[in-house]
Amino acid sequence: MQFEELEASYGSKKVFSKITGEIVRHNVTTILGPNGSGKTTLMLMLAHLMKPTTGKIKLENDSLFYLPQRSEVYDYMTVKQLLEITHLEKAESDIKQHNQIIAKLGLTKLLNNDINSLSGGQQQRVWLAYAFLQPARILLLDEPLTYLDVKYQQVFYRMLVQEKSRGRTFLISLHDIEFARRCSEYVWFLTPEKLVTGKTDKILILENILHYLEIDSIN
Amino acid sequence: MTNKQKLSFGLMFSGCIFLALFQLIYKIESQSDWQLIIIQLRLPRLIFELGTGLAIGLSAVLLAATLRQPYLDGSMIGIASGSELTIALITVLIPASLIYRVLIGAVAGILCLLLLRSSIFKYHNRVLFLIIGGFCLAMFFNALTTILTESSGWAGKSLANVTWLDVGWLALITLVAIVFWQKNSRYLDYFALPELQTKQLGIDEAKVALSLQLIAAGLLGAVTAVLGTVFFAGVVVNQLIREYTHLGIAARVPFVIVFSILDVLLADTVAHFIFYPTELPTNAVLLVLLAPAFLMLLMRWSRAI
Repeated sequence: MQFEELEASYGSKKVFSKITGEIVRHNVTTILGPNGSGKTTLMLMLAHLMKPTTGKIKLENDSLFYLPQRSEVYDYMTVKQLLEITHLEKAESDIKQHNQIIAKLGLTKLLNNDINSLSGGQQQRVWLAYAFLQPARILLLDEPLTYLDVKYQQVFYRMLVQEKSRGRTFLISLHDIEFARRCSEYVWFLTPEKLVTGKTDKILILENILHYLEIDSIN
Repeated sequence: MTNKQKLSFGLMFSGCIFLALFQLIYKIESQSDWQLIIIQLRLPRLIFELGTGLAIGLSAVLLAATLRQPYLDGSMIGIASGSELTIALITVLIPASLIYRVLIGAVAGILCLLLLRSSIFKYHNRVLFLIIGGFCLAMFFNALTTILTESSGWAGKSLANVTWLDVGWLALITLVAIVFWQKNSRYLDYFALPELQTKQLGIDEAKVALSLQLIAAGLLGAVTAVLGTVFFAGVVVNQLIREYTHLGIAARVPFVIVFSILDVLLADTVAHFIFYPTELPTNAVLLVLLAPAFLMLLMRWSRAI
């Protein structure tokens, strides 16, 4: 999946201009950047949920799913009802995998609970399960670690590795540099002027972290 | 459906049957021409009450779902008041047209909806704006109705003068609503999800929402032309059933409709029979009957907060 010369603005306020990049298949790419740098806007554009001011996005035959930072449920809906939406036309083998994902994210006992009655962390696990259960081959996950405790951050990491080995592609936005180093093959630094991309070991160095994340020091 | 839900539905349904039969056959001693009273007065009134219950309940569920604002109904955003204002205008300007009041009310409801969609609904994710904006519009329509009808002697707001023509138009409007419902109701549960997710499921949300809102506005406008506006009734009925049954949007619809019909039947029974021969305004009685439920809901919400 490639994009060229993408530009985004809200009214007269420009978010980023003329950025070009590529999501490499069967890999995890992490997008880093300070608050307001346009990570969510870029993901929405790549998911065709928002039109870029200018620029082109080339998506081949792959299907794509975007999970926002925070998702709300507006009426009574159980965890089971939400997750059932994802396997309406699935085969028996998929249902087995479906149950494994639910179990890994600790949702088995919560299936009959109203989503709005769950804690922030539990809700985030429900939405992560919803994302992993999508048939899409490319998943765009916007700050997936939000509200997750250490245990489920580790579960999420293992699921990411497993799903990648099954041929899925991920673009995730994070604020946790160490998690990004562990889970991703590629890292993007997004600034209003440019998108700096590269292999994790080459690009995720102290100098870039200080410069592109606008911090004085790591200590 | 759990046993508790089945029992609740059964009780509400039985209550409706009991009240319907009572309204139809309870004989007040001073009344003569019994057969004529049943066929020309009580039967059309009863059928219209059923349609009114359906309209108030269903419109509340549909508007709350499609706007993703559970605490809204058609009375709070001006649809009912717009229909009432139109009927007041017709009463003053061309009273001969009042025989078509149900149809006129439905059209007025739909026009109000289109007005709202082109203005306030554009900001539907700003809850306060939607509620305050909608309520201001409702109050504005209400004020105009009061000014227009101040010295006209227009009573309105009663089911006492329902005619077979009113029933016929309401039946026709309900049939059209059923056609729209059959095409769109399968998407109703998806409105519990954020807009970003329904888009990704490939649902043409704008089209489905418009169709469902047209059903709500048409039905509510039609019954308001006769009954008058009943503020908050739809919200109370929808929320009470939601809190009690814990059912999703689509599964809740039959419960809301039956409960709403039960409330209207009860309100009209009180309005017609309790102080006979004085006829009370049914919409006011309905509001009074639902007031304790509204207070109970407020207490539950405040505890939840």
